[in-house]
Amino acid sequence: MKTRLFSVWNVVFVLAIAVLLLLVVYPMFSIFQASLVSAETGEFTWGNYIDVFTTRFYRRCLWNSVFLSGLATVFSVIIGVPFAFLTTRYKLPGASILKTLGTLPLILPTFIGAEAWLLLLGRNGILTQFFHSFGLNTPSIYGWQGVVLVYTLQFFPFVFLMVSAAINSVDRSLEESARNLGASPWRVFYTVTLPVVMPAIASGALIVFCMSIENFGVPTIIGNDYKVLAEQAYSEFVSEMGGNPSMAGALSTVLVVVTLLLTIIQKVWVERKSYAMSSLRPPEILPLAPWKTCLSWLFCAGVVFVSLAPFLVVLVAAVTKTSGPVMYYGQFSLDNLALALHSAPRPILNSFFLATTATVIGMFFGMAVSYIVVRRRGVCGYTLDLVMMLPLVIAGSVLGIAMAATFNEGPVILTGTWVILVLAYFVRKTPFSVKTTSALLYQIDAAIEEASVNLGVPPLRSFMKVVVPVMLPGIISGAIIMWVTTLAELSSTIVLYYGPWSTMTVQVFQYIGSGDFGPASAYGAILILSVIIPLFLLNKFLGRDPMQSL
Amino acid sequence: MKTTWKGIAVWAGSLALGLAFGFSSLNAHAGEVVLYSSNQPELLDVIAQGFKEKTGHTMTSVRMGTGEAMKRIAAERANPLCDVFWSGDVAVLDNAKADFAAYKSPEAEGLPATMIDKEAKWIASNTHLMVFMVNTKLIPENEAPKTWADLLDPRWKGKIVMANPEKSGTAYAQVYGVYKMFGDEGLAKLVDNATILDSSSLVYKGTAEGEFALGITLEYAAYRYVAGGNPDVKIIYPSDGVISAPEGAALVNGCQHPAEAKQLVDYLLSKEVEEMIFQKYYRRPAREDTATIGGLPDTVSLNILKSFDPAEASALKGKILAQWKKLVLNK
Repeated sequence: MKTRLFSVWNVVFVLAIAVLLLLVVYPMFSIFQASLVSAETGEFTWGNYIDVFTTRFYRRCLWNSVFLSGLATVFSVIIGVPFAFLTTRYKLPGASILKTLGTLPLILPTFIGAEAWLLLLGRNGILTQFFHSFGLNTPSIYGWQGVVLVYTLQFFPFVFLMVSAAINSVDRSLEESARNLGASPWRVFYTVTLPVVMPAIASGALIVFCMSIENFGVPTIIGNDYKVLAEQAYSEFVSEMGGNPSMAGALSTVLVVVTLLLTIIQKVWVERKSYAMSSLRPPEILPLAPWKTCLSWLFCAGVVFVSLAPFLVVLVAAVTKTSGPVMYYGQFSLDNLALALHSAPRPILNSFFLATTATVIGMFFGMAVSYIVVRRRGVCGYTLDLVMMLPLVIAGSVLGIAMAATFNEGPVILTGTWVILVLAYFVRKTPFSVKTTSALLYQIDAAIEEASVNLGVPPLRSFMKVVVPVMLPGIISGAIIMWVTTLAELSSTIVLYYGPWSTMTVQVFQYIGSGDFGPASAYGAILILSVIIPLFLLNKFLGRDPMQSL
Repeated sequence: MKTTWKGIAVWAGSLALGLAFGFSSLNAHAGEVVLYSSNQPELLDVIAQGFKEKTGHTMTSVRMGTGEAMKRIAAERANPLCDVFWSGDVAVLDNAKADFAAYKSPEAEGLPATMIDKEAKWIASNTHLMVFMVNTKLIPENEAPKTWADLLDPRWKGKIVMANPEKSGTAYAQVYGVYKMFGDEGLAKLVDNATILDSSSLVYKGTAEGEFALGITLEYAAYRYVAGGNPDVKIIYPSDGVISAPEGAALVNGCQHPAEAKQLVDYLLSKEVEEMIFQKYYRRPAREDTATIGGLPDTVSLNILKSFDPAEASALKGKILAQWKKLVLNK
């Protein structure tokens, strides 16, 4: 019986590894290989890397990338950590609504956020004009300031989510003992609470950094001549003037190396610092003095309001009258929504089809991988976990470029088909499913399942009957997160889609590109609603916010 | 156990397949002439309708970028799936000449010599004029530069924006034009004065929004803001030479429906279609016998840069861009 159990899961393990090798490792390796080939002579060379590090332009891009991402990370922590503490530990009116609203920025594609802020704070922006009428001159949003603003407001929820989960896992008795031993509240915070939460802050910060450094949409829209590496890699690849694939490869490799190094440093550091907690009694929620409640509430509500401002802009712009690229604010019109829903609904259908297909595949794959990672620790589980999580540190556009180049030739040509989009989404989003599912799986005692197998139920059926029901909430949360983030995905789509397989995000990106914010907002509004509605329903029926299980 | 997994597999598989077939049927209309085009879908719908009314033939279109279309047409050489390509930079078409068949459309009569390939492998359908788009909130119209020579004056340093010629074909056309007029020195002055943005759309968007004072851009892109009612946007046609970059149509070599394809080319080049596109999309016809729109000057009244040669532009591309890159990297 025992051997049979292992043979079934061995097959699954080998299959999973093979799929990931083919879809992630091999394409990334080919990108690296391409970067070592001279574009002119086709011979082996380190020249592309020498160019990256010796040309003033590329060095500036590299520095800009690190600077922007670092600054955005710092600000995200400054906003996200207090937000998490205030909404999780203290009695604030509407804390749960604030928490739910606080996660919403994650579902808005960042370049829509950038364009919306441009409409608010650009030189001719609505807020700029407003301030101007009081004689106030706001600084220009173009350049690094604007990019950092957008990154911070869109990515701080990662810090907030991770930290609030960690706060909830702090056992109440720890802090109580510290207090009983005579420590002041601040001392308790610095010596007990903060060290426990620190790894979560580090994880959140790392995600913000990776998301910022891989992003090219925001710098393209409001960076002006403040250029970053991700943008250069992308434009070398899509250039209509015949870009330089070797250079694109070298720039991509540099990006991946930066994020990979940081991930390793963070992992080593967290493993040394992390405290095993089994939260028997989650911390109690404390009341605050009225004026403190008031200030805290104003801070949290203010953060939520500002970070959701782009949603408001998009929803308003979607029903604003437009004439070509010129917007007439204050005049209502349904023309752009009618265009999106009636004349050109194909991108909407494409988005739903691609996201659903990728999610269904990712759900089953994620289930199997989580099981192996949790149940079969040791080399196998560890390797699988590592390879599975690899796409999280690879920029979407880089992975897209790698896949496009790899599956452009050979026995199966996938470039230019919808299948490659589904595969890219699957690879990029399944890590979320594995994360949410394996977290639950750790709580199931392997003995229960063994009992079922020993009672004569075949291993796979035992898995379906005993394990899957327990994993179900994690699977559903994972699936929702996959679906929602796939709908909002631009970076890999833009390099992989072709003609008829354009998605909502591509439409928004292109309409923003041609200056037509009206139709862009119409698709954007549909995208926002189709993401918020399932999240809201799930929140209502499951009684929990799926985004918070990340 | 097996039934559970089989069930799931069958269910998931049929879901994916069903949806896939549903979608592929959206793609493939049963049709006759196949057009690859970089034009927007709503325009292609209008063309398909008009062509059907005029000739009775059905036209199917596949939309993709010009570069992508050239790759596809080359890849399908053994078994061409496309009959006609329409509306791409003629320098790009000129590069892909081997895949096109010569066809001297009767509609091409009276076209200026620069608007048709010497072997008639491509024929221009419309042309992009490179203009100065000025935001009058930042530069009063009467103070704005009226010529390229004026624009290259150091006093405009930091006030003008253009797209990156290494990434954008139209920006390259602008750089090539400046090179033809002012040589290497012109390139150096242009790099000195201009802020270079990564995509051509940032140029007209930023100028319209008042972020930049002057953008070097395409006539139609600037005119969309004028027609839309933005009072701050003015268009200047440099009087020392308007750079004109034609876009054209071409018949695919060995295509499956040559007779219908020729009719389609005639239709695309016809006065009515070119005028309709001018009125709706502000793209200036290549033929000079069409009516102009909304206060835009007639082509014949402008000082079009005669020395602009698409074939030479593509031949000199490597050299000019290398020179450009050197100037930019050391800026």
